[in-house]
Amino acid sequence: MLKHRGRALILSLLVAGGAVAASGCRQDMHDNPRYEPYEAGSHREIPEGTVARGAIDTNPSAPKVVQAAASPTPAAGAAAPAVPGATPAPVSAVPVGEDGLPFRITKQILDRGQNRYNISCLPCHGALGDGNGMIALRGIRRPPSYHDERLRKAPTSYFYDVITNGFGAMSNYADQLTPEDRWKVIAYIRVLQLSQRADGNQLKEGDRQKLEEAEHATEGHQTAGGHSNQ
Amino acid sequence: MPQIFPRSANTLARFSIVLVGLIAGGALWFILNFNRTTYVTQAFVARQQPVQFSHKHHVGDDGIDCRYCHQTVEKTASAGLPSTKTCMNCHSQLFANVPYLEIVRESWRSGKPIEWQRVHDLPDFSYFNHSIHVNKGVGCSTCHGRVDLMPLMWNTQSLQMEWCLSCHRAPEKVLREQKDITKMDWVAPPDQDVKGKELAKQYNIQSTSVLTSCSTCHR
Repeated sequence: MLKHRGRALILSLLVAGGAVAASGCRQDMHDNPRYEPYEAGSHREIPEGTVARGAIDTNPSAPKVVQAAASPTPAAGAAAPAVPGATPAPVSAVPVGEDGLPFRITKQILDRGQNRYNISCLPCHGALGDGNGMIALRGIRRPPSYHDERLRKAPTSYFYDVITNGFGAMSNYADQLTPEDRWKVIAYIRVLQLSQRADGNQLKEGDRQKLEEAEHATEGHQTAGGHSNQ
Repeated sequence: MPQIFPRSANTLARFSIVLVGLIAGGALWFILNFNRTTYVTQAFVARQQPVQFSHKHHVGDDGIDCRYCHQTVEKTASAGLPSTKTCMNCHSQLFANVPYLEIVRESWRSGKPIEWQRVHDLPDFSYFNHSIHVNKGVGCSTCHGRVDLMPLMWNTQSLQMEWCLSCHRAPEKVLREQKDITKMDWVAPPDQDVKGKELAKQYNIQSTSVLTSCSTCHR
């Protein structure tokens, strides 16, 4: 009898001890004695000269153009050297010169470029690249329009340099855009530049119709907005 | 010797059996539901931060994409907190002299990071990766709610296992296209039943048995 009682006592002590230990474990396992990402105290100064993984060629020089991506029409090609800037259209998507993009442009590349542009550049440069982004409207020094003469003529390497090293009020975006993405964004900037100066008559029939419909829709919208304001 | 228990004690005995069951059941119900309350989960409780940072202003008013600041959300487990440099991209010029941004400027001068307070904290024994969710069509607002309407940040979900599983059992209910991934006011379209299944196929989403297997999240 006494023996039984002793066994019961030991068993109940074990159960009670186990319960206490388990409840302790619970919190320990929720919060391990380790740093969470970005937890205060986990940050270290990066030692000088550290090269991040995959960052070894962050700064490839702009490769030479092997082949012009878009061939300008003969008429424009002939007129361009004589009176630069006098022919409004067509503008070739990629300047035919010593400077170009390190890849052939595809729809995927432009989509990625647009996606990254809308994340990193649009707040200041605006959806059209005219420098009327929300942050610019809030009072940051207004960025130049991509449709300015100077930037339309600028080689792609110029844009790459500005993204990588910053320019004027714009700080560098080397952390935010990988080298590959920088080139893709530049390709999209060329699209924006073309979009504001392209000759609508050169579009395919279906596309032109869509453009006209969009224009009508915008006009209608603006008129409606004007009326509602009055 | 008279009887100790009168005849009516039988009724009391039967009743007490039921009563014990009710109390035990009630206690269980209380424990389960108490653990789901916002008192325990801290959902909808706004967290104070060292800087008066408003997501409502930056996302809602300015329309800045989530990924401008949370840059690694598509690539790594952690969505990433912006470095002070990211703040200074704009705030070297905007609100450059206001006192409440002094902490940001001090951090910029000294190189010492701002100590942001974590809002969403999963238990350390659960494995979570932002990139797989974002790349497979689970948008920001599905878990984080309408961040564009939050002046201070709070959880909108319990972050409990039953909540994780509710989605892992039927991911097609919340899947969206990549172009809408950071869209804050996204709501499931009327044809989500069909669309979600298509997207699940397109994103190559694993079967429910894989998604709900223990080792998917507890590694």
